Amino acid sequence: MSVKIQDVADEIWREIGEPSEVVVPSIAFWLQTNVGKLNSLIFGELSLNKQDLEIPNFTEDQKAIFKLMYLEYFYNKKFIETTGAAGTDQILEVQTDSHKVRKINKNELSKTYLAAKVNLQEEIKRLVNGYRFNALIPLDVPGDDTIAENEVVEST
Amino acid sequence: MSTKIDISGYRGTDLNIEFTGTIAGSTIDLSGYSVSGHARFQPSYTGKLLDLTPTIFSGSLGAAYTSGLIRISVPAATMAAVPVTQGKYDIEIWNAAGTTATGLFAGKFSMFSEYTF
Repeated sequence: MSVKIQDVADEIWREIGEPSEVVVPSIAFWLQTNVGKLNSLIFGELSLNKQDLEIPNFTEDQKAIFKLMYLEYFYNKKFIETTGAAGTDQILEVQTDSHKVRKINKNELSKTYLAAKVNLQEEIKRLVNGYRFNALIPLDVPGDDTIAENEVVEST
Repeated sequence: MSTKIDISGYRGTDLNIEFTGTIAGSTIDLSGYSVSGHARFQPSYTGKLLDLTPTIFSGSLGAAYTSGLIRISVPAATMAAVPVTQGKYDIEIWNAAGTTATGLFAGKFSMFSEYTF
């Protein structure tokens, strides 16, 4: 049975902690528009059905890789947000009299996102290698029952 | 320039949205205009995610079409067939001759899945 994009999107959303800034439809859109990227990684020939926006014959193995690809995109987006102009915050701590306000160090936050992204890239490589290995089909299985060319077989 | 408003729909649930078209704070007199609106997966995508079938209607604030009200009403059966994704939509009004279109509203169209079916 083919895996549905809407179910994959729903799984991803729950696994990343149901964040309010992301919705299941936006994840589904990312998956639907990045089938080509998945194909390039797994040497696949998947395509999006233009009618129901689903991927026919989409398997559990492919789903596992696709989910990690989205997570990598997600943390890369977070990384860009914290390193970009909007993420810059030069004041980390304000102290006056007996009051102290300490802000999140966005530089540290961006390092965390970057580390998560790099880890995911490694995980994707491992899964893709495993997937490619499983998908291998031998062209020939030689055994001792084969008859070599020009070999004379004596009949008894 | 269209007003940016993001809308959401749920599979298998009626979609009912009412917009009020305004220009500089005053409602638009929609007399003599027709209205159309589609949601699409991508701009050049040939098929529509959903024909929003917007209609101009008269509200309690003014007579005829002067209230600037546009209603989207899509039945649950139609919504059940819309795939889960995030597309874009826009709503435009056409003059009586059908020669001039003016964009009124545009934004994201998020389609959510349902659990009761």
